[in-house]
Amino acid sequence: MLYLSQLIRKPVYDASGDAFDRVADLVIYHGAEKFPKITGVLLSGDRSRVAIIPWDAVAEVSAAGVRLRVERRHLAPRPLQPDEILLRDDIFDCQVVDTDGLKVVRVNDIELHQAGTELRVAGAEVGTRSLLRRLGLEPLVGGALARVGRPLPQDVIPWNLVAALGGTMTPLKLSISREKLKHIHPADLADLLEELDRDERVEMITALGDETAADVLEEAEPGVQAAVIQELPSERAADVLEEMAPDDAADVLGGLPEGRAGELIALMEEEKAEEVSRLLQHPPDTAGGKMTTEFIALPETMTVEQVLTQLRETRPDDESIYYLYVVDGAGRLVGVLSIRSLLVSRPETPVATLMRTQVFSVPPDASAEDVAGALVKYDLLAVPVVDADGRLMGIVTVDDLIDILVETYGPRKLGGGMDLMRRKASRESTSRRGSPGPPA
Amino acid sequence: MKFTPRVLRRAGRAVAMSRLAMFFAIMGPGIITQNVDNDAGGVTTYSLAGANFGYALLWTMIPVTIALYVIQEMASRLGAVTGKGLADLIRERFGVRTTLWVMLVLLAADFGNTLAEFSGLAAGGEIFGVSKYVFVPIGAVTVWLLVIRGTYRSVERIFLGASAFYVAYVISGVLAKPDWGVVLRASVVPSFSFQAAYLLMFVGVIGTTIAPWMQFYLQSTVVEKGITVKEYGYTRTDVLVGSFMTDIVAWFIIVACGATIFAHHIHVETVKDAALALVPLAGRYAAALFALGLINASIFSASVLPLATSHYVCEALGFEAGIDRTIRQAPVFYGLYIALIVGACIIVLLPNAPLLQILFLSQVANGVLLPFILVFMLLLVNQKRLMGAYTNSVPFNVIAWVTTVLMIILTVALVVTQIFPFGG
Repeated sequence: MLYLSQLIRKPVYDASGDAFDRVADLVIYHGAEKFPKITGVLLSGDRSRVAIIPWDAVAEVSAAGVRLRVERRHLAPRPLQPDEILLRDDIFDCQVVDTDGLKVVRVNDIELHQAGTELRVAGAEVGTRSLLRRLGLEPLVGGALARVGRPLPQDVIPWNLVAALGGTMTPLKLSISREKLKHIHPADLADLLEELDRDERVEMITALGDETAADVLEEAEPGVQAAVIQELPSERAADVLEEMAPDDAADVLGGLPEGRAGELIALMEEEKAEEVSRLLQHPPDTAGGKMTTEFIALPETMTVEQVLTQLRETRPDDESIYYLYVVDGAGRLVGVLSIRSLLVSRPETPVATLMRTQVFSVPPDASAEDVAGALVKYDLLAVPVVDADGRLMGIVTVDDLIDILVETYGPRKLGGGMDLMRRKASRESTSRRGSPGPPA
Repeated sequence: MKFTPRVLRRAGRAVAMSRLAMFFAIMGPGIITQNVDNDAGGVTTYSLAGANFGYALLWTMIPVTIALYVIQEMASRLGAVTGKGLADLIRERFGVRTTLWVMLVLLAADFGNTLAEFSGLAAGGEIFGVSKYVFVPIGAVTVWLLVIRGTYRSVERIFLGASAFYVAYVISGVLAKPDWGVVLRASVVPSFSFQAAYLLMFVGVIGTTIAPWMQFYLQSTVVEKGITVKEYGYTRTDVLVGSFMTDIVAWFIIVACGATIFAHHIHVETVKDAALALVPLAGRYAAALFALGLINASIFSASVLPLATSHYVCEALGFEAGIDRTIRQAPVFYGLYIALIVGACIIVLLPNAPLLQILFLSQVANGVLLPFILVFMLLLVNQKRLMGAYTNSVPFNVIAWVTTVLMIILTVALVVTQIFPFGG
């Protein structure tokens, strides 16, 4: 095995055996190849770092150096292509994504696979052993550990599992990144996003489609969300925001400087923009700030059959299907319907006879903590938000309150689960609020 | 069911809170960094400068402020333009070996600073008559809990608010009625001495004002806040205000100590003696006020510094880092963090540990180690490929390079005078 660290600064000999320069960097074509070929070499003497010696000119390569098959004066350097990357400059010592281990790692060395004069990138090496090699301590420490029977393990990520983000974004590079990231769950991508640097974040979000990008952003920390949206070109940022759930989009926009938020809202589709602006009027830590306006409201005159047909047509999201709310002609919340009662009833039954009329609801200015407490106490997945006239404005769902729930009711790793949370919530609301009435 | 009455009460409180939040929101990375910087080591060093040399070092405050601003501006510009931390940049641009050396320098300086924070805690406790064997472990556990439980973020503002304690020095300095003519002249007319003690103090004052870790901390904070070149103008102001605030406080500490301790020819032997500078303001409560300030500053900085240091070292060398990881996932990170805190505690808890000397000499160490960090910052900030149109201007380069070279010369002079003392 050959390592990039063993080649850097090694002498370059021409055909006459004259060591005329040293290796500064190796070039690969950043294409669809799983283990890309080295396409050229950059010499230390080239201070402007633009002239690449094509790999065809190489006769032999080893840890002792590189021997060329032509004489120095016959070399025909070519410029660096847009889709080429410099291994030492762009990958060495930089952060890459391990798409298998789902981690952001720092590359200590690059493993190269040799077949004749052909040299390919085999993998990115991380871990202590490569670090020691770079420091020139591998023989010493590695040898000592091997003697006591605990040899240092080698930690190489195969190149096809490495996503190198950052740097210039060419269409090809973006499609490669998209290809490498597409099997990762949005929640895992969000975790990775948090560990990446600014430029790498922008590339990740740019590489993903609008919809996936929105899913990833919804899962990310507020600070990261704002930072990414700030960095994206306005058009693209607006597209991603449109794809996000309105309440999440509103949260992100609420964290931006006013001018920028206004600009992005103006670029969004009219309908989404209106919804988001409406949500933005509520302080972020209240029921109004947390609620989503995507919910199911049924007129009380509907029958079971009609409801089912409508659901089939509108195909609501996971978040909103928890409860079906029933409203009167003026939009006032009059009842709630469970999917169960819908399924077990005859098609012609009017929903008004099936619904529960005792609905627990909160005003838009209720604090998010209180909503979370109620959610846990009454064992609900969503709470409707109604205005002073009793009109249904939106719903706060459990996933929008997870942070508060875990912080307030969960032990560090939620070991106790929902039960513990519920007991604690019940205890606290009893002591804080006096006697808790039944859901009214 | 409605929560109305309680919601209303909350709303009232929320208005008051949001005003406070606004105030702190305006306080950017520059000002926060400067506040962490005014730690136990800082207060002690400025106090000793005034107590032992009167106003003789006051003149350094103007050039030090300029150098501080220039260097901090460089750090925040590096962060805003590249979106990366200083340790990351050093690793990516200079490779593993250089990074390892820089990280060792940072570790050495910050072990000194952690020692200083725990010495501050020990000294503060002793002023209240609490043995350091009780107080330091309690402090260490408090820091540990604040950090691991993640409550630090929510109490940071309390610490920052309590930093207003430094205003006490401003008032006390005025109440001590120094001869303002003399003070102002000493502030603008440079004087110098090759006495070993003077040189030591000189390096200590610079080291505590422009500490190596501050550059790492400021740059990371700029990156974390997502500040880019677009909003950069604001950060520049923030850094400028921060630099002035720190040095105005430092100037008043020196004046207050000069007008009280130095004027009365009192020799400062323990940390407690430095509290005498607050007597014109607080009378017999001076010691208590001083101790509270010291303890607040110590816990504040001890919560930030060792953790940040472990982060930078691990990130630069590619080890997993972060308190959201378990000890098994990030052994190096936790190992470093625990070593810094426990190591510092053990040394401070040694019988007869010279707290005053630790507090002061750790700051001298910062000064001695500063040029190593500055050289790399300067090289980075002048790389066209990295910074594009945002490389250093000529005046900035001149000021920063002069500071770097001056610190090296001072260090050499310090070593020479320690070996061959003369004139003093």
